[in-house]
Amino acid sequence: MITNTHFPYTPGEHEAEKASNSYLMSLIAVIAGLPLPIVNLIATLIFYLGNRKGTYFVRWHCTQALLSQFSLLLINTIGFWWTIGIIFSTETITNQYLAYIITILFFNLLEFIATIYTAINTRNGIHVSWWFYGDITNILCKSRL
Amino acid sequence: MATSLTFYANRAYDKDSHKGLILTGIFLTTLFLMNQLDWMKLFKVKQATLKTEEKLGELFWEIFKDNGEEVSDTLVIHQHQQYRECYVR
Repeated sequence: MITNTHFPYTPGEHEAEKASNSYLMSLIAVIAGLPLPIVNLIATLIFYLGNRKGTYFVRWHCTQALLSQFSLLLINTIGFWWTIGIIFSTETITNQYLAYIITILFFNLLEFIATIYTAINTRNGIHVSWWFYGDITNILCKSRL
Repeated sequence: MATSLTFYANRAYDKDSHKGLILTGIFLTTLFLMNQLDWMKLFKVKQATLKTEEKLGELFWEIFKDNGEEVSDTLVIHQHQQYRECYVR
């Protein structure tokens, strides 16, 4: 799922720190705005917009962090509004609801672990590419601005 | 040149769309498998709901008793019971 591949150049200390921060941003946002699924996407998006003119390594990792948040936003939004429906309307807790919540918790936990792993490795200058997200990032992020 | 570029772009797109489908498939399979388990029984949701309803009922009863007067007149209670027997079925 996660591969340590070679980047076209060796990133400097400053770049590695900034790239690692893009993942840390989503982690902090997850902790801060846990019930709201949009918070971590906004945090990663702001960081991405701030580094749009950054070096290739930084841009690449900001894009990967942002893309990973997009798919989480999709599944978390459904879970969030389903819960709101149960609390404030006539909806009741069903087996399907519990199964969905447990599934999204599992996927969020997976993403959380992957993000921690990537943040640590990126800080050390190692290029970490995620399965699927890494390929999409390669299409979206070009070495030249 | 342009043709080969389009060819490689399409190949990359195909590969990634396959990966996207696999990822969606993994999610849906996990959801399907999770759905097979009886979480309602596992988390004792029904018992917890009944307990909460009972506690809420007691709480509301306390509030009503504190704010109003409880009618214990047998005539009124009897009439109410008759009404219930006649109309509430």
